[in-house]
Amino acid sequence: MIEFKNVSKSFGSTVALDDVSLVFPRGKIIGLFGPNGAGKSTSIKLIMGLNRPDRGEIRVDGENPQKKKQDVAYLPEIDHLYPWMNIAQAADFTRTFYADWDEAKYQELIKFLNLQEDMKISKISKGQRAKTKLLLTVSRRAPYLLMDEPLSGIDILTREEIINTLIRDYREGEQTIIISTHEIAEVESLVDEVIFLDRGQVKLSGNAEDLRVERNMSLVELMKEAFRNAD
Amino acid sequence: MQTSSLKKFFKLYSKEMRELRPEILVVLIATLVLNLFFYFKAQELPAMVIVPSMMMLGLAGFLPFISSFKLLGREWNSNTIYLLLSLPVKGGNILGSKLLALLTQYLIGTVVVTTGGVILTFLLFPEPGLAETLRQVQASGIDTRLQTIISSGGLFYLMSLVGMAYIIAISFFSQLLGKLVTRFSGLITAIVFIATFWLMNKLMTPIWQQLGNYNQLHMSQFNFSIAAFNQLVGMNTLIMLAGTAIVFVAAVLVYNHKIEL
Amino acid sequence: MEFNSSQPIYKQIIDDFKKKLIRGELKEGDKIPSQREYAEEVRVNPNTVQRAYREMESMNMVETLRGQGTYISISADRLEEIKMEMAINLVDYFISEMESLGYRQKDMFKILEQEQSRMEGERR
Repeated sequence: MIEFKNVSKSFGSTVALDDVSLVFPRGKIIGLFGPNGAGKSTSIKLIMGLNRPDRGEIRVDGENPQKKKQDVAYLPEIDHLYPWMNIAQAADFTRTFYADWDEAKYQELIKFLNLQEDMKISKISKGQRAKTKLLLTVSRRAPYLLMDEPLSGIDILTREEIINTLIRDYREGEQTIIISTHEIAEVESLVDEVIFLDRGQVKLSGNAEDLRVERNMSLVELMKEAFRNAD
Repeated sequence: MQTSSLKKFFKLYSKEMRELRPEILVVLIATLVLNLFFYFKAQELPAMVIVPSMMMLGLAGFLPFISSFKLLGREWNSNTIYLLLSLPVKGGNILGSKLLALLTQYLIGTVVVTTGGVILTFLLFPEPGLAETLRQVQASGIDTRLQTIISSGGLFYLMSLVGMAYIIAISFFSQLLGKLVTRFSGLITAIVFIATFWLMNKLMTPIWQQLGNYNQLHMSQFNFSIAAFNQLVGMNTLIMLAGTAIVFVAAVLVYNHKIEL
Repeated sequence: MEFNSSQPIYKQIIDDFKKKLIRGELKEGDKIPSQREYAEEVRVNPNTVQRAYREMESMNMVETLRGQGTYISISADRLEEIKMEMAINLVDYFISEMESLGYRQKDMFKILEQEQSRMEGERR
């Protein structure tokens, strides 16, 4: 379980998170939704320990995120892999640091995603890079998987491959996946729980199915409504 | 399967070595080209042999300092800092592997240049030959026992290596402090670099002075002796090593507790 | 299978199985896909599929045998009940929509008969 307790975070004069208290339950696929600048990336970076809160605290299984890095797999929005490496080298690099690396899964996924080990990171297409990032994060049996905009700027077929991979390899009940995206329609049937963020605050959160029952609306419609009310 | 921390450190180190490959190759190739050039061109003026070696030694000794900025700064420029910071290893490993790689670069560079210089010298001065040279030096009263050469030379080289580590540690520290601000990062780095250098100098100078007095005392007793020289170099090295440790630890603390994205 | 994302997905999964049962595409004793297979097939969160399967078990539609899989296990009475439930749901929906258009029962019957014979005619 990941907890945010009254977390605030600013970058200069920009408020990224404003007194946010949240719980990300264990074993769920959680959608972190909201427009650009809502605080989605910052929330994810705070969980990964790449940012530190100005106020409040974050707990990953009750501990400081700085101490839980081995339990979290992180897929950032930007390209964070060493460009001179090929896929095999990037995998080898990752493998060294994590005891939860699953070699069989990696071998299987690389085929499923139509990637080749000798592909050089700097030479491959954007879609292939996105798939490589996915390959390296999903090949770990990490209890927590953080994905920051895994679908942005990626063609439809690759999006489908990414979502299929997530469903295929998701370990129900034990794995927690947090996906930040503004493309809600794409992940409508993928998420258990949703959190709508806007300008650093939680607008709405809850179980996706319960919200559909209560409001008779899709998540996309819910998002639209939440933000219509905001203005 | 839990990978040992040594293995993790080595993986980081080999990554850094791969990043430094171009610079190391530049020194290797430049040494070869310059030495060849002087071998063919300087036949009529053999004393010129000192020129390529000195030029290259300057390059080999200076390049790791330049590379220290590239090695750390590039992590930010290419966004790989996101990967690095998410790894379950602390700043000691990250910065330690970079430091070790830069020292390896220094080691390879200086050894290659020196070896090249020695070979060139013997090629250009086939007379009087190694044995004869040694005899002449011995005749002039200088201690040429292998042990002494190795100990003094080695110690002196070690001092230069620690000096390199010292400069790199300051480079890391100032770069990391520069990363704490969003604007004028380069300016902050430059200011912190100079300030740290100045501050550490202030700190170490009194110790050096003490050491100098102590040594003068000994020198006057024994005149010039290899032993006294070694002692001076050894002490200097130790002081610089302590200084390096202080700055390096400060850099690690900044990395562990302050660096954010 | 296309989902209507304004309705709970687990309910749509259950409805899909009900329809297959009523149409006879699935019969007593048939093995249905494992939760994982089904999740991959329809591209839905495995937790949601798990919820649907659990619900179907408590509705006495399926039975999960440890280590063997999930099988259709439904009595004829229960099937009849489900069929009736679905029919009632449809009719309820029909009536409320028609009422909102201002139709009375008599007109509804008339339109129903007309439409049915027209559709039969088309099919022939």
